[in-house]
Amino acid sequence: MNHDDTTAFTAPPASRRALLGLLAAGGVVASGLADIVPAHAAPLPLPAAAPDLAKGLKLKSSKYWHLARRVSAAPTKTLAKEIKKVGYTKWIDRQLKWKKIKDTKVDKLIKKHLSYATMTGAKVHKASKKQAWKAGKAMSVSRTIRQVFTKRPLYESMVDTMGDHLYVAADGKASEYVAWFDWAVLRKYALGSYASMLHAAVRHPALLLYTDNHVNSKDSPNENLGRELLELYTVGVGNYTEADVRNSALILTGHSVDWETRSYRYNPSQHHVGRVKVMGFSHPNASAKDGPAVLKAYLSYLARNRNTALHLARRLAVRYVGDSPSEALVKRLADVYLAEKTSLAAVMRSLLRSKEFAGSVGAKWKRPQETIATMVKLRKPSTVKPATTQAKNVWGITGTVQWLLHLESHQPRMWPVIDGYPDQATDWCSTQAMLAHWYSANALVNWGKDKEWPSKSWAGALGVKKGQPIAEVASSLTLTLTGYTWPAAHLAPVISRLRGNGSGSTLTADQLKHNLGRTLHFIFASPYFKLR
Amino acid sequence: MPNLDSTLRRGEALLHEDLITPLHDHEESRNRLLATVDGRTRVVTPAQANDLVGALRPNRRVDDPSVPHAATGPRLGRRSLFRGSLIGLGGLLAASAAPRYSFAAQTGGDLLVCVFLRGGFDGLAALGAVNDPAYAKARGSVGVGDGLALTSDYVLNPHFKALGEMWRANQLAIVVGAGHPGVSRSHFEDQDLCERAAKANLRSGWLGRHIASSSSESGTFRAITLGSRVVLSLTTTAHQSLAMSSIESFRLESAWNDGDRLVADLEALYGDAGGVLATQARATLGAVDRLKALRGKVKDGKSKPANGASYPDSAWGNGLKDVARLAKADLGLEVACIDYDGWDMHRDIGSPGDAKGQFSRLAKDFAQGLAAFRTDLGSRWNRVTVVTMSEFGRRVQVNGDGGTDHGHGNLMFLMGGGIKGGKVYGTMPKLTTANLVDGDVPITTDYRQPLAEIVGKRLKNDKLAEVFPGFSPGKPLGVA
Repeated sequence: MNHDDTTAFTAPPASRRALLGLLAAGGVVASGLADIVPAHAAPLPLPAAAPDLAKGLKLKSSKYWHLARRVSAAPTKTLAKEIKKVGYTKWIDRQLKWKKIKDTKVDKLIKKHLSYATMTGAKVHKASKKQAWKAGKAMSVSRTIRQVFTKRPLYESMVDTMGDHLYVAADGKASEYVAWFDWAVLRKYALGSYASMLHAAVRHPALLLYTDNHVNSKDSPNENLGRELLELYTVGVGNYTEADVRNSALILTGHSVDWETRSYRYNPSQHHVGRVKVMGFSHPNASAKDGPAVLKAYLSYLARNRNTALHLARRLAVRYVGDSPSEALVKRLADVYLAEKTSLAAVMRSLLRSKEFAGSVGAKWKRPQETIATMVKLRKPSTVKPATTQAKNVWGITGTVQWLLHLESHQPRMWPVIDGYPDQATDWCSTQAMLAHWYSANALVNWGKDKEWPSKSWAGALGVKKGQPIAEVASSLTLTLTGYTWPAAHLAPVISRLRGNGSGSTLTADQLKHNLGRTLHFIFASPYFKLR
Repeated sequence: MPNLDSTLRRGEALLHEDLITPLHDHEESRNRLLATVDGRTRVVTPAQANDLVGALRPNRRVDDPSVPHAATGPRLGRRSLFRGSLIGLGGLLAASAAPRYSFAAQTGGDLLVCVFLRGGFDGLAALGAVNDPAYAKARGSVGVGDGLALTSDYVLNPHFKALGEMWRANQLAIVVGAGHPGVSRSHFEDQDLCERAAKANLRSGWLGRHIASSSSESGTFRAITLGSRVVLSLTTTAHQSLAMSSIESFRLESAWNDGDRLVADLEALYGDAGGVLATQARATLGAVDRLKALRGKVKDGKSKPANGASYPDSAWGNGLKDVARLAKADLGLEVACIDYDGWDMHRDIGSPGDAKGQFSRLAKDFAQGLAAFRTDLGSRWNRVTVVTMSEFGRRVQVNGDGGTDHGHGNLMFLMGGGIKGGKVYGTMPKLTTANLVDGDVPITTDYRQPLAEIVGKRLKNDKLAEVFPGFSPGKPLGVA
């Protein structure tokens, strides 16, 4: 499929997705894939990796919308149009060079209302009058504002993805340092070299405190970081022994935090001396002053390990392609990662241009941060205008939004466990998750607007006016809000909601006033809106 | 046909949406079941529906990966039906279309409350081995010396004292040296391992398999997780169970003029999506309906625990209070899972003498919650079993920061009217270096042993090979 062609395409049924999976594995020669193959005409066995979400819906979308939904936390029609205008591949390449895209508006908003999120640990300690723990929450809130207003959606999405990978919770042990970690590690390297990111992360007070490594010393080793470094950040479970964990912890002894300067400090006197060996890595580690050099060599070895490449490739494929990506895709992305010197941008470029990505329409389930950011953005807020300050009530900066995210168990970086938020459908379609989403949608549509997000009425923001044909309004709203073209059977309850008890074919002022709210709620509550 | 749901012997007939579609009407006498076979649709009686489903879809029970999945899956029947109904027969979809789940008939077993102590519970901080000098040496000031003397060998940390009455009534048992023999000391891997209790190619949990194998009922409230997502223990493709944060908050809010229609339209739309989305939406809407009824039974909207029970005001206390409320409402609750997070104490676990210590605070909350739960349930407690599990125990030797690192063997609490309590089961050797596994308590009792006894004796499910595949029970401990 030519990525720059402009024809809309339809999501393949499950069997076609299976076919694409096989293609990625090199098993079948491609031809005529753009044709829609009805499921019953191609009775291929489903691989275990076949996405099973919404298999009953015939999803019609464009590849521009597909890309927008996957890489933006708040995809809109405007974004899909922008991608089409610039060109699919060209748009990806521009987004990957994120530094060249100015994000002045949102940067200014963060600076103005959530400056704690832009400071070092020492600075925020002073600026907050020794209440530096508020910085973590300021960073959490800043994520929502960035998701809504950014011009670099792909980059910001990667910040969130890598934030779940090298996860440090905004609350708790590292709350005073995690905002600094966000900009100095995650934001700095989200599309950069993973080797550099890992080195910066492991020497950052936030991660050191979060994993108790500041007290890891030769006399009383603490294994927490040594283990998670192997399990979560690099090679993954099953690829190391308990002896490797112990040696990993010993390498990390002495890498600590200086409470005076509130920054990273290496304490040679706490460092274990003597040969260390982890998997294929070995170092004489002969004197205490070698500590930093040993760590650097060790992390460099880990970042370039084949298993690390596979681990990262899988994470990105699960996030951006499907809940069970094919082994072939994962291997291919791992190859790119190693060939391109651990460049995350290179992996993403390859991923987004893969056939498997193109064939994965509707195979992912959105998480609450995305659905909420999208609903907020669709109302076209002009800015953020808090009624409070970060010092007084940091959660209140965005009105009810953080409360809704809390109810949906997805406040940015507030997952209580070290493995970061999950990103597979089964984690986000429990009964409680379904209900909480329907609740948030109702709150954002029918509760009246938050004054923190100065915006138009819903009708104004979406261009719905009296006198418009009801059927056209239904088609246009469903497409604008979800990016999918709904079939007539599913437009029926939308039309019926807009119409109410009326009988005419065009929208009256009363219908607009009383029926738009429930219509939007229904569309937001639908599976179409939730399919990423 | 007064009530479709209660007439159906096997509620899961309604789960086979491609075969059977219920059409509800404002006037109940006009309710219909439609069956679609080989592309033809006709009205059937509940008995015919049951027979049809029984013949075409024998209950798979567990998600055995060897069972092949159809390449295209069931979908056409219901969707084409709903197309028709939405365009032409919209009126047939009544406001009461939501509750499609049957209420479960009791399987005759206890209500099981499974508590997962996440983070790696430190059994050695809960239970002191008073006759073991190696314990005292390794644990020092954070070790348990005084407290509730359970046996001549073991003393319970004093912050669990609310459990004293349960112990004296022989309704609390402790198993020491318990765990999964394959633990790796990784939180995530080991939680996964313990909850799955089977090989990794089975994507289901032991309680999910228990629910699926003990009865073919599809009752919404057979199994619940108190929390935002279903725990792995309860996961199975054969039964979608409920996750809810609380009884009070589980309600569908909508615009003033949408209410009941929203329920019907969402169910139809998600039904068309099929698969897990259809099942989850149906379960959600069904539960919304039932819980609304449950809340409606309380006059001022506030439910009070019975028998003067006083729960701690914590997520844990409130969760147990809701479990008790559901149990008392006779909704057919068989399994309730509730997590207790926060036991990963690598630093400053605190000594038993310090009531404000990390471990002390959680221990007190834990014990008070369960004591209140027992009081609240009154005579129902006789038919309730509570088990605790955790991914691993912790290192015997306290680390340099007054905390403990990830370990191996651990203890389990078993409670309930039918538990043979007042006894410590299992064995733990003297904690001298030679007796330890990499510095950890050795696992001398497979945690599935006491669980299997509970599943068999208290939950009355004899299909242990399905619940714990690959595990052969040893000599019974005699806990239940």
